[in-house]
Amino acid sequence: MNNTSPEVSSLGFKEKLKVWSSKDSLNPIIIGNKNFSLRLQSFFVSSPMLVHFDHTAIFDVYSEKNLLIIIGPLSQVQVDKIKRIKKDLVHDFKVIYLEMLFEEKMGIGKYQKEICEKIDYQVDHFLIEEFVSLDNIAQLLREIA
Amino acid sequence: MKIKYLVANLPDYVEGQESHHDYLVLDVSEDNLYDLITYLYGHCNYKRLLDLSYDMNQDKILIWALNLHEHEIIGVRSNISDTDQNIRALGHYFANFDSLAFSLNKSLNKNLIQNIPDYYQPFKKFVPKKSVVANNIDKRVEDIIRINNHMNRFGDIDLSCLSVDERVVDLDYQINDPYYHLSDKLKHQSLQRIANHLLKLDGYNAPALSIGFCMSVEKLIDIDIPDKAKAIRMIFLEFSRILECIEYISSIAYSVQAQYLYHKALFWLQGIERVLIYYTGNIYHLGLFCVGGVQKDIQSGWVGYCNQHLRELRLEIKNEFEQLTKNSLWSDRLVVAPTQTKDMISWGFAGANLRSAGINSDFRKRMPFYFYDEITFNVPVALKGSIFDKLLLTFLELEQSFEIIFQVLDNIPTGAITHLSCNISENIKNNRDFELDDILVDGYCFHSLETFKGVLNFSISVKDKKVNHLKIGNDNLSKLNYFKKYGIGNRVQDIGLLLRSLNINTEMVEF
Repeated sequence: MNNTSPEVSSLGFKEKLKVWSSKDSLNPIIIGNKNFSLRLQSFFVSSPMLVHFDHTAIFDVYSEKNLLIIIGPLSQVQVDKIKRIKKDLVHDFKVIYLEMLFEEKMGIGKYQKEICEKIDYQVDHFLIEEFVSLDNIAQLLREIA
Repeated sequence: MKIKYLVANLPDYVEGQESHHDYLVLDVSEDNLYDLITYLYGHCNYKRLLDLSYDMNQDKILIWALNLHEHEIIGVRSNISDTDQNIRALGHYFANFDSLAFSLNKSLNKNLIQNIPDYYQPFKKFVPKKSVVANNIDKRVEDIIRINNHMNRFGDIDLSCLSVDERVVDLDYQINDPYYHLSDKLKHQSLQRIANHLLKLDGYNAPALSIGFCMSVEKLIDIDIPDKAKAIRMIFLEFSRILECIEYISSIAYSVQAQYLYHKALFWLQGIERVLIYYTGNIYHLGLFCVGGVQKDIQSGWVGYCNQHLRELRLEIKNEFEQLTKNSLWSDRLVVAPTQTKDMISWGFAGANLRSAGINSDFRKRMPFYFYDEITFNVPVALKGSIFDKLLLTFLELEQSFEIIFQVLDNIPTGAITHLSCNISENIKNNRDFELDDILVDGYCFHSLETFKGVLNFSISVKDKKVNHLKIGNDNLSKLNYFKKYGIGNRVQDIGLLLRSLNINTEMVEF
């Protein structure tokens, strides 16, 4: 476990696990557009606004993730990967779907349903806009946390 | 070879010549196309193929090549028949020909150049046991390894390697990003909409895309933008170069598990983004760039803020660079895959990749635009083209970009920021129905802009005052195919590093 205080690190394994499960920090896994993901990561790491982030755990492959951030649109390979990630995640986790549109889209509700069916997940929050700003995401994350 | 000498000694079969804005275009029939390219390649040193584009209005194909000695660009225009095409023979000179032809076909959505290999073939389903294929090839073969670490942490690209004794013997890639059909999406859109949409693509390089597009349209309609707009665009071009450099450093650091430098680089990125957001108000710099100049003037206080932050950041990066050069761990780990200069040119590499292999080639210096010729800056060059060379070069390039920004900030011109013919509010006063697209004229334009990642080639065909076809040529697919060829023989552990070092953006690949 990362970022543990001296009191927590002196605990036994089971106690540590308990502390971990009650911890309210977000530990995301990001899939989708590389450029946007990188922006999101640098924002997480350096943003003083996001107090709910376990900063060091973001890049730790072995830490348990509790938030899945999907950046659309997705190709079939990425959809398959998301399904595989679902199998790996043991604990409860939230799903956020972000997408920047190229043209105005009618019937966003229907589109959201299609996405849920495609990735076989219940997406908790959608952010589908012409331009998705990092502040919008930060606000969303604060609500979740 | 000076272009004047070439014009004086053109072969007889050249049917015509035309000055296409800044570049010379030669007309030739399809039968003589190969001969002319051979002449240009062999006698006139046009050894780097820049791009292939298509002029919709004339229904002809254009081949753009660059002379690395004089830094002159030449275009060869020819029609190609539906059958018996001999244009593919150009692959004999230029290793990146097939990749560029494939991209052109995809951007046009038709099979213009035939018999091009299909570069997008998704992998077959992954079988995690020892595969039969591997066994059949060689008994020593370990397995087909699907590299599944940092490289696809965003899901953008997958690699598959076949290895013998830890050395790669076969290699393949798969692009996972969805294909945007960029030229279809931007067809017949308004100029401002295209300039804004380009800001969504290519991450930190997006301002260069938008500026490049505006520059090519300005070239087509033949206007000279005000000095202040030039200075602001230069600042943004250099900022996007700085961001690209830092992103590159972060990706190399991540690949070698240097968490400290990786985190530091992410902090730097965010610091610079904040400076830009102070100026434009949003992370994409939406609405800043327009044909004819820029739309937002520098706010009071920004120059001081920018100067202060950049100087602090420069000092921090400089300290990090000193640490990096002192530490032998980096030089030991990163002396991977030194490259031959000849290969780099043949594969159409540009920018930092080419400079890392010892070629002093920088469009800002050799073909200066805006105020680059009035600014003092150096072009750092490395020798061997290894990943360590590339990393050192990136740090040195950062230093130069900071220097350019400081010089421009100290000498910002005064006056208007938009050309009079493109100033919407001024024009609406005289004519209520004025739209920016009214300034467009029918024709074709090619413009080449170098960025940190590589060169961007804009080909625009305008018909009936609408952008009929827009192709943004880039070297990402060529780099992928280069990687597929030259990745063989490297250690399996280094493959990820090698791919990241080429700085490929799969989002821009047409497939």
